[in-house]
Amino acid sequence: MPPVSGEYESFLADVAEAVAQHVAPWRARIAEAIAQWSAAGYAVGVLERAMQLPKEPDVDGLLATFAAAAEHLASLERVALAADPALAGQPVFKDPARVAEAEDATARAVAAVSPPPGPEAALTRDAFEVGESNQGAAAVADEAVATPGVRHALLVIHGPSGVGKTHLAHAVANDLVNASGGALVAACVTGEAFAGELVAALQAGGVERWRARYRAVDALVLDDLQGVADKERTQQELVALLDDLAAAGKQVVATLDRPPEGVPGLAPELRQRLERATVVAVDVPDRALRERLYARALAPRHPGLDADLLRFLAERPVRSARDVAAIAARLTAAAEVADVPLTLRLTQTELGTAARVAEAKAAGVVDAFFLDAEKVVWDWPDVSARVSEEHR
Amino acid sequence: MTIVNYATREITCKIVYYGPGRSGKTTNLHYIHEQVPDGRKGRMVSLATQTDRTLFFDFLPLDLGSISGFTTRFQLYTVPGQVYYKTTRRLVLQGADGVVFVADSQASQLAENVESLQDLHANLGEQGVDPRSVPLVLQYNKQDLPPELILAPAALDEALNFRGAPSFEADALHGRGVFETLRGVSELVLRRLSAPATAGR
Repeated sequence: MPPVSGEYESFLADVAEAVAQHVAPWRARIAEAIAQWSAAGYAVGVLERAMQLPKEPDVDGLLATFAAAAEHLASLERVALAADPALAGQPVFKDPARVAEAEDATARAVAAVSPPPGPEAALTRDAFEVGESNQGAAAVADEAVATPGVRHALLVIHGPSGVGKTHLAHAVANDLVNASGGALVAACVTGEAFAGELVAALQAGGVERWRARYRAVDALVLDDLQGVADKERTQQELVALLDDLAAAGKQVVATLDRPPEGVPGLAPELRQRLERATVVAVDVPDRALRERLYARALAPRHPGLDADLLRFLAERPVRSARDVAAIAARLTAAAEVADVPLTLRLTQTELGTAARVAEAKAAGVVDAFFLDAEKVVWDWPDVSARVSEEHR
Repeated sequence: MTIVNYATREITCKIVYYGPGRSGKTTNLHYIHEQVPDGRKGRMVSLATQTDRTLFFDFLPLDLGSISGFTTRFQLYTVPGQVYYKTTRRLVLQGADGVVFVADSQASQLAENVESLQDLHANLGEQGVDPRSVPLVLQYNKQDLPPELILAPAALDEALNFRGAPSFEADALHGRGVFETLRGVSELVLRRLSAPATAGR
């Protein structure tokens, strides 16, 4: 009998049918994915472990997650290589089980090239005066510095404008950096700036790079976070960033102009995280704090300051520590212009004038143009001095 | 032996052609070897005596290519049929995923067929394998010989096939029944892929 043509092909077709019929279909799908991703150079340990499962897992979810992770890794690798070509070929960018490591490597590479803005060096904890109105916040901030990323991993400081929230938040960042001998990286950004950076990154197609900068930090200060209100995409990014930093045990300090529950325009996810954080208030400076603030502000230029002067100043209510600094600067300028020491009388005169302007403004009976302190003379000199030079 | 290895995405089937001496086991493999396209067949290894009898074993690797994402290979072995190669038969039989028992249809060889079949059961038993659990097909070879010399398939079934395994008439020398037999044992073997015992391997 002559050989039957195509016997082998027929046999092969039967075997293929039997394999397709009897091999667990879900394992076959994973096996195909393993072959595909291996060929692309990816580590497939995750998929191989899934193959060993006694029961069928969510294969669609598994493969979709793997594909998303691989895509994310490719994106990270592009960003990392742009920052540091020496990272080419790093296995971490080919292993979906090591996404966190890849993110970290990318973030550090990017941060090394263009680090985010750090805290203002002048805003230290030593320079932050403590009184009844802010002692609770200061104590919690000190705890955060002692154990960053632990008990107060997300610290929210709220209070009116100018009361020292930014100072305290930057002080935390400065202390953390200094305590590490400069090893830790701290970033400080306002809510408005954060949103602006994101928009710019989106327009430039560099979101991954932008994200990586912030994920590389060890401490993050988000100042005036209410600036992200009603900015949906920014808040999404912010939530993801807060979660990543929390998972990595990093310290975050946010400041708000009011308690989190009162800030309008926040997405529920962000509001939830802020409300769950350690929330502390900084109030307008109390009398004792005002006295210390004035003493600190005036002492460098006016050594041996009169205690009565400080008491006089401290008795006057202010809305914020910033107001204290402004008043101190104004008194210093007045004393320097007059070329006299800063005295209680000069202070009373200077502040009295300002007070009258303020009262007139409040009454609303004078044309506001003439209430500008620089344009109006409230205390006329004697008559001879009033005659203009040309008429003498 | 692992039939399917999900980790390496390989399916490997070891099929052993068993039977008495001169029943046509090696002839089966030669025919298969001839039909396989050049790119798919490995070198057939045949350790034979000077009198052309199988001394140790024949080995024919078949690379069936990628099937459902699995690199699929069949390894076909024959055992030496002569009674005195019992140890060799036992070694070759180890890890077999399926067995083709090639019986010589000649009436004069019935006793040898029965003895070889008993030998197969004994060897499987000694390896701790339940003979009833091993995929088995029977091939009644040399059905092309004059009718007066051979037993009809029904008679051979009655004498040898007490398990009711699939059986195939064959003329291995000319190829008749060869692939049908291989297809039959393959189907039985591959059916086990979906069995829980191999699912996790």
